[in-house]
Amino acid sequence: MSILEESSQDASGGESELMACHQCDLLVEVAELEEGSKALCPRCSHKLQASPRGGVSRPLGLSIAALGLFGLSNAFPFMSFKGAGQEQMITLCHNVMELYRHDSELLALTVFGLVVVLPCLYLVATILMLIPMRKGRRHPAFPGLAKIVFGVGPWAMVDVFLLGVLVSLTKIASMAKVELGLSFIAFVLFAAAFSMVVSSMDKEWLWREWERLETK
Amino acid sequence: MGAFGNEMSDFGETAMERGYAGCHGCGNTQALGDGECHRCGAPLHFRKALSIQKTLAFLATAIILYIPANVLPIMHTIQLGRSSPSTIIGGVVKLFEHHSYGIAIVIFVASVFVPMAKMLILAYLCMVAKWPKLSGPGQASLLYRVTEIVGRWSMIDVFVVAVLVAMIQLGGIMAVEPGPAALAFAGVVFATMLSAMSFDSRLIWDSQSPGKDKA
Ligand SMILES: [Zn+2]
Ligand SMILES: [Zn+2]
Repeated sequence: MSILEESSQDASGGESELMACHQCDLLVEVAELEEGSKALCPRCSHKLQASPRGGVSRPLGLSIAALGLFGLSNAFPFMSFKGAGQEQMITLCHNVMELYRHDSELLALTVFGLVVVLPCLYLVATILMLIPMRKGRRHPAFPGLAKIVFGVGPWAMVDVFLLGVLVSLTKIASMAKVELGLSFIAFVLFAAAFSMVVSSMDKEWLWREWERLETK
Repeated sequence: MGAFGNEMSDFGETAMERGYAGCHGCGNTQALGDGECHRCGAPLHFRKALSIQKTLAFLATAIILYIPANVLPIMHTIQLGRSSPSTIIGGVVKLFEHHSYGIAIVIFVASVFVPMAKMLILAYLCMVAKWPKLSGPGQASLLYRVTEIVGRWSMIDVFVVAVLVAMIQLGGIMAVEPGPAALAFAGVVFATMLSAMSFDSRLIWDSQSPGKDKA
């Protein structure tokens, strides 16, 4: 099935795969990975392949949870700010709208893209990609969805945005009273779930699993 | 086992030496053939085409954008009708003066140190790819990996401005307006990320190719 047939069987009888290290191009034979383990390049110690604990179910469950939490964090006020006798309440989307109102359309678009559009696209594509895999079906949409997921991944900056919010909170806290809303907690949980999804999506491993479904 | 030494004979050979290429799209390793991955259809190549040129082009973009990002104000604070602009560095200095050392350090690292270090490292890596004697490949690829992981965190300051603008809108009493440096700085982060993605880290290992003496 593979061009590299000469090395498709290792001593233990399990299927092993010849892989070129992405970082240094060394050819390494990677044996079948146990759940929760990863293979590193012996020359440059770059990650060759990683199999997440819990298999496909883990990123799938986490993605669904993350999408739900994201919806929740948009439904309620994010935080409120009291100062000089006035109160300001904002939601997540309000954040972007306010930038837009200040003639910073491009900046608004950037923030909206990095914090809302791309993370949601990432999660939706992940869910669509993993559901058939979990059922053991080889879906023809996988290659396209994988392209979206792994292309979008580095540009989804949920975690960075959260740190930015925390920094601005400490800045504002010195000026006035800030109250965190329910949405803020939901957003923190969303960011945590999102990071866990990203860390359990290994490109090489997923493609290898998907290809196996084909030959079954 | 001295993985980063000069002696590489204890390792096998590279994919390129065997005529194989690892696919960027799916990780499948296969004979180069007609230059298309048989698993995911992505174009296959031994090394990314024009890697150094693209890396340098994005790097130059980042350096050019870095100037307005630092010279122009990143935001204006309007207090009782008086508008005071603040630059990235000015913001860090102000935080230090207000004894907010923690945030000052976070902003300094994310907005000043990381982008500068990233640009210097990318330039250095291009030099290493060209003149391999400059550095051991182990050290250079460690720098590359750190650069790739850390780069996106520079976006913090842009998000801080976005949140402050949304939060602090109390009419004439106090308001925060975004400055042009915020967009320029976002551009710096994008350009350095694209620069790092264009760089082919295999180039820094090529001089140490494990099977080179055989050829
Ligand atoms: Zn390697
Ligand atoms: Zn491929």
